[in-house]
Parts: sequence; structure tokens; C-alpha cells
Amino acid sequence: MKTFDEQLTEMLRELTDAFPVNRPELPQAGPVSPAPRRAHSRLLATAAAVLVIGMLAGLWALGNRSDRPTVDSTVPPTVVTSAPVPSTTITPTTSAPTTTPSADEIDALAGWVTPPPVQTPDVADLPKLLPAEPLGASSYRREFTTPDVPETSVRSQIWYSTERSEFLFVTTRLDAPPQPSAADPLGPWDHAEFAGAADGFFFFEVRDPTGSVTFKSRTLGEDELREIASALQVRPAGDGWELPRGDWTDSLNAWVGGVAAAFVIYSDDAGFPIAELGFRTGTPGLFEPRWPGLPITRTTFGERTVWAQENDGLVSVVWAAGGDVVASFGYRGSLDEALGIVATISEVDDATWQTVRLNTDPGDGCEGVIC
Amino acid sequence: MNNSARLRRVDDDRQHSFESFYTARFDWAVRLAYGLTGDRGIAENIAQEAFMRMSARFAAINQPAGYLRASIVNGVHSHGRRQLLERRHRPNRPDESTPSHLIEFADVLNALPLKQRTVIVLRYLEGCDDGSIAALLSCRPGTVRSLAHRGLQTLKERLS
Repeated sequence: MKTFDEQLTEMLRELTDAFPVNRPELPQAGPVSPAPRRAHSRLLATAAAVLVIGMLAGLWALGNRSDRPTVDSTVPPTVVTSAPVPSTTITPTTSAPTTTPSADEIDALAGWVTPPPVQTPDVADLPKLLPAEPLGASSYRREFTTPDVPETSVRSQIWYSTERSEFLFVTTRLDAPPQPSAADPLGPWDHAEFAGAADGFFFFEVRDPTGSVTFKSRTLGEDELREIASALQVRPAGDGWELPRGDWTDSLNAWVGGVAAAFVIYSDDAGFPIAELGFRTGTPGLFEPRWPGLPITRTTFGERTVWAQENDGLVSVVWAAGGDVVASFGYRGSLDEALGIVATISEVDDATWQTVRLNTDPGDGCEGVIC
Repeated sequence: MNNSARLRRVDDDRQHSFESFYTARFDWAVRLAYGLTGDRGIAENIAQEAFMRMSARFAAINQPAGYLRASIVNGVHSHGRRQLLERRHRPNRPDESTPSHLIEFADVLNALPLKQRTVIVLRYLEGCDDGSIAALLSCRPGTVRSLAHRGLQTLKERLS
């Protein structure tokens, strides 16, 4: 008798295996023929460009390496599986030992202040922000998430580069991280590791016995992250890292403790969400471009700088709402309309806030405009 | 991961060109996207967009398969989500490829909230552990367990 879990796996496999996949062929060279889908066409065009660039790069490399033997592409390369290792005699050096301290001897996190104690966040501390008008919605409601409390506070810094239209998330932990068995030192750090990709981000981490720093980026490569990590300098106040070289600017710099969030969701007659206003304390998690690769619009309303993106009729706007609170606004409509609404968002008194119906069963919180 | 293992992993991945990776993984990517969305058009678009993004920077990606999975999940939760929400307000017809004995299952799966469905598919179709799913969804493993519990509860109730 199969368990429900086993039956579920079987049904999912059968369902997805039965789905017919039509894989478009990648072009080898030459013009790209019209494809039935827009994304398909773009994929083929991009792949063709990559192939052409690769071929040109290969030709350039061959042209600049005339001392190398020519390669007959019709002959498979020989794979050497057990090359003999030449014996080596090591001659003791007579030069004076260097005095440069090794990464083991440097505390890369020296100069940092002690993190503040973690406090359980209270949703009552979240700002009570509402737009001037209810956006033409038939109904709107408030929702809260259950506070999430970590063991220690971490320092969260977000840097933005106008030139790159790129956010770089830098999270510093001042608790002893587990040390890897084999160290891979980088500058003052005992260990550096490119930790792969998840959810569209690359992760790079450097560690010392007293703490660690994680870099999260959508576009920066390992070499660039290594360069930034190896050159980190502590801010004079001891509560963050100085900005790296280039046009990076501070977008957020705060201790992150417990997390609490609230949302106001506006719906149309059919219950379909048309707008979502969110506030989150204790995390910069919402302070992210929702759609990598799409342009980011930076707009200032008085002292409020907001970051907006538009994607096929859906708009996402985020801004720092004081302290470690991040506000977000998701809207189905145009960018101009969304920014016009954001400009009217302001703090309301508790009585006004309480008039917004409280939804006590928000499900998985995924029913708003932007999940 | 130690240095030699990391370099070996990089070498393993870079032995494969984008073309061979595309050939080997395209079907899997579309099927994963279909499992996550239940919609043929959205699944194909999300998979193609993911490969398109990867093609321009393939040599710099250390773990192409992991990156592709993350791109698919991310695509479903950003680009595809609006379309999925809109679909909820349209009559839901099962895809013509759905085997007749799985139509009810597909209907129930389509009715799950997106995050619950994502957790169910990643856990039971892809065999991902809760920690990996939490990393993909940028949430805690406890949240993954909670979403899985609620999704399983709904599936059991409606399929019994």
C-alpha cells in the first residue's frame, strides 16, 4: 500500500511527464528564422548572438596565440586520466620571512560595535500609512504576519549603483559562524565562498572566527564580489562597512532583529487584488527590485526617495519608511498612476487605521498584488 | 565546500556548453514550470525567459542547474503570478495533455495558493529538502513546513 506522499509524487510525475514539450532548436549560425513566441524569438536571437560572439572570441584567441598548435576539430581530444607526476626537490629558501600577517591573525570584524539585543517586534510599532483615496477599490483590508524573531541582530546594508541599476545587499553577522574544514582566505578573511544562486540572486560569503558577511546580488560576478569583500573598511561608528568604490550609495543601513509585517490590500468587485500597501520592520527583504533586468525608476517626494519598476501593467514601488521599516506598494496600472498614489501616502491616526477591516485569516499572504 | 571541491564543481559545470545544457535541461525546465503553474503557455514562457537570461552569462554561472531551478521558481512567483491570479477568475480548463484520471488532481492542484503549490511540487516532484525550498522562496524552513502541511491537508481532503 503506497503512502499518500508516494502517490502524490507519482501523480505529479505522471502529470508533468504527460505534458508535451516542444523544444525549439538553437540556431548554429546565420539568420534566425521567425519564431512563434516572443520569448522564443528573443531566446534564439540571444543564443545566436552568444554563439557569434563566442566564435569571434575564439578566432581572436587563435589569431593571438599562433604559437599554439592548431586544433583539428574532427579529432576528439585525448583525455589523460593518470598523468605521471614529476618528482620535485624543494630547496630551503634563504630569504627573510615576510612580516605580513596571515588572514588567521587578522580580525576582519575588529572595530565593529556590539549588536543591539534582539527584540520581539510589535505590529503596533509599524507605521500606519494610507493613501489619500481608497484607489477606487470595492473593499480593502489589513493583514498581519506572525512576528519572526532571530537569535541575534544582524547589520543589513543595501547599496545602490545608478550606473548599474543594481542593488547590493550586504548582511553582517557578528556571531561565530561554523568554520569550513578547508580555508579559502581572501584579504583579511579566513574563508571566502561563492555560495551559488537562489531565487535569482548570487550569494557570496566571507567568514572569520568572529562573524561573517554575506553579499547578495543579481548581476555582480564572483570576481567583483571578491574585490569588494577584500577591500571592506569599517565605518567610523563601527556599525557598518564603508561604501565600496564607484557610484554606490547607501539605500538602507540598519540593525535587523525581529520581523513584523502588515499589509493593506485593495480589491475590486470580484475580490481581485488591485493594489497592496505593505510595511515591514526588521528586514530589508522588500527593498528589492521585483523584476531583475527591468529599469528602476528613482523618484523623490520631499524627503521620501522611492524605487519603482513596471512590468506589463504591474508596478512595484519600495521606499525606506524610517528606521528599519520598509514600505512597498504594488499596483495594477501605470507607473505614473502608482507614483501619483505613493505621493499621497501619509501617516494616519489610529482611529482612521482601525476603520480598515482586519482580515484575521490571510492564508499564505500570497493573495495580494505582489507576493 | 572546500577549495578543490568547489573548483571541481566549476570545472564539471563548465565542461558543458550552453547548447548542451539547453538540450539536456529544457524539457525538465518546462515540466517544472508546468508543475508549478499548471498552464502550458506560462510554463513555456517562463522556461524560455530563464534560458534567455542564462545564455548571456552562462560561463559565469557556477551551478547552472540550481540557477535554472531558482530562475523558474522566481519567474513563476514574479512574471507568472499575475497571469495565474487572472486565471483564477476565468473558467479553469485542464490542459489537453492531462490524463483523464488526473483531471481532478490537476484541478485541486490548480486551486492551491501559489506558495503552497510551489512547496508541494518542489518537495514531491523535485525531491528538494525543506532547507533548499526555504532558500528558493526566501523564507524559513518552518514556513516551508507550514505551507506543505496546509497544502497536503487540502489535497487529502479534496482527493479523498
